[in-house]
Amino acid sequence: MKRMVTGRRMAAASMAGVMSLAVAACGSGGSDSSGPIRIGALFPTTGTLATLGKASLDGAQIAVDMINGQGGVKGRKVQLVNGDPSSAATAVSEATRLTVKEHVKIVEGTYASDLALAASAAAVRNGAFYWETDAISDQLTSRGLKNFFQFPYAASSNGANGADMVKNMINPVLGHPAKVVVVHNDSSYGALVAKGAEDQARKDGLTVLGNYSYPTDTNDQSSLALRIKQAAPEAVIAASYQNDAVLLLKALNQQNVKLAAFMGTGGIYGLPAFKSALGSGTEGLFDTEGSASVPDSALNPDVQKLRATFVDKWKQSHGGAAPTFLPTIAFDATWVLLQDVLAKAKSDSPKDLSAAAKSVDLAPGSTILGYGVKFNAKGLNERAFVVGMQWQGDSPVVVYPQKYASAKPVKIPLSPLSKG
Amino acid sequence: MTLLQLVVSGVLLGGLYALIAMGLTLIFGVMRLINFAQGEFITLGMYAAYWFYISLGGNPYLSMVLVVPAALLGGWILERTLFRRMGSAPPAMQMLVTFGLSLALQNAMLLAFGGDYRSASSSFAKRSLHLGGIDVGVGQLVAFAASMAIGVGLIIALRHTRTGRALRAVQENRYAIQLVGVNVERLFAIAFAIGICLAAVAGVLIAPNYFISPTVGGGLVFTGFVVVVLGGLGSLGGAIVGGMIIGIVESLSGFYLPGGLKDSFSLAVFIVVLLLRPAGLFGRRGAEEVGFK
Repeated sequence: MKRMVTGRRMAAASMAGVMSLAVAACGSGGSDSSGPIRIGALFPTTGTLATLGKASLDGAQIAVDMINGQGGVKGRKVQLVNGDPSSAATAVSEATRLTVKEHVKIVEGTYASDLALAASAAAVRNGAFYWETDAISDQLTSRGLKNFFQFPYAASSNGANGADMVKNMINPVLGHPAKVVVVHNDSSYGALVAKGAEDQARKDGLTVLGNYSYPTDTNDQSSLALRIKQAAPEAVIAASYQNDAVLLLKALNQQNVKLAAFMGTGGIYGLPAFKSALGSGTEGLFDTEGSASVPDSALNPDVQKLRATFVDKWKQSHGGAAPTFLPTIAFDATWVLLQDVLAKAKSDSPKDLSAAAKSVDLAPGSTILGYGVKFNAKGLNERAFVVGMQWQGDSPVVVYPQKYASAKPVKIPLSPLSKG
Repeated sequence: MTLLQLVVSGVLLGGLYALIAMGLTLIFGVMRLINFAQGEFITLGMYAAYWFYISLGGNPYLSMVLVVPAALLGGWILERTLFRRMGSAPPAMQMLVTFGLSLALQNAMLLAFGGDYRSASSSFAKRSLHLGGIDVGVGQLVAFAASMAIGVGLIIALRHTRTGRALRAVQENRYAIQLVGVNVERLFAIAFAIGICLAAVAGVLIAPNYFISPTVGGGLVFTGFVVVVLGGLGSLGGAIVGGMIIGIVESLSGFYLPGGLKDSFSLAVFIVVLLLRPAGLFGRRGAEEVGFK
């Protein structure tokens, strides 16, 4: 009998516990339809990725502030709940914290691909909708992750654009299909870009003399420079991060490697830091990636105004400097998420948001980067694109394709080539 | 000719590694302290060269005039204020302090200078010499020559000066030397100050050929640790020879092997050497003991 009473008491206590947990969960739940719409923002704001992560977060915040200034989404204010994924491990813990503890059901981020891969897997596993604003690894959308959407282009298209630029800008100067070498660091990003470059180079009829990888954290690139020198290509297409890119250019210079063109593919190649590290050594180098400075003619008139407003707001809060690509794409992606997905979704549940994202169909020129928006079955925005830029003076200018170009390419060949 | 170019590039790279390793090995040999913050002192040297080059418009190498006394003084003060208090703490605790110092310095530099890359690449250092079919960067050549001069100078000083002999005696037997009335604490401060100074000087010499960012030193010093162990803990000659070996192996493997194997091959050579000579090339058995017993 005593055992029965104890059993009943335990059952009652358990029931009370479950009920109180349920009440507590309702009280702090994310489905409060009158409060602000809370969106997790996973950008690294400490550690080695902090500079660009913070810039991305600032871009996203401006979009949120502007939407809130217009009355919010469906009459509700939007609030970013920040997480700091400074490494792949913290990306998982921060994504889990936001989705489980903070009850956030919409997460955006993440700037770096390795962080994006880790954070999105954790967030989606916990039932969230994930909106990737600026990471570009092909692996992000090849995983078949539900409720995951990637606003920018895929990394491999960066490499492919490098090969196309050689075909369309360098071949005519040389008078024959260029001989190219592809080099890349041994990260998954480097390998994907390099594969995109090599495949497209072959399709474009270029002669691929080699595809060389090197350790990402190398202290010295002189042996790679010598390998390139021995192969004697006319163009190099390189997929690098930061240190490795700077050391590669320094080593090519020290080894007197003569090239008609050097094509960097994203990473540091288009950033002011590249100029700071190499000084006048950047003149004439190409970079292929997304650009924040496509001409106004490539944008719809209302989008031109939107871009001008964003640029003004950015300059006001960043000492007068113009926004680079990363904050611009973070703004652009966040704007589309709020205006074209969240505002049009039946509810802010991940399922309804996914349905709304799949039905977005914006023509090219509809966003401030000039992109259109249409997601393929894997969740990749097929209307995002890369452009070819060239360092001319203190900044890179768009030179390819002609539709988006603001200047003509110069310094082809990059260095006087020997006849033969 | 390619092989010769690779060996020359490797030797020049080895000179850089040797320079980084010498400071580490001196501090370890005398104090039995593994200084994880050594990389940050390299970075500070680089920023000093950058500042001298940009703000004062001077040749980055001339910043040595300020860097050497500042680093000696800084090293001395750090030893007196921080590490002397840790003298009786377990070795792991001492290592944690250097690790904490590394984090603090790295983040202080991020705060002070930002995460952007900088360059102190003077037109002199950027030049490249073409000698008998071999290309050699002037900046690299200067760093190598200075590294060798410093290495040889230090070895001579350790053999032929009174303080140098005392420093070697501490390495041999730190208890016995106290018994004959030598002030060991003073020797620790000297060794630490010289070790920090070597790191900062390495930073100045590397700066014109490299890029500068708050985290750059950490990457360089990792190879420095490998060189120290390969050469034998506490051995300056070992640091020079070890630096050359790693430099040449990295240069050759980077060319002849698939790129991803470059680092693994030099580490494989490192493991083989340690299997044959567990104390390193010039180290003595027991030299690897960390901390005081």
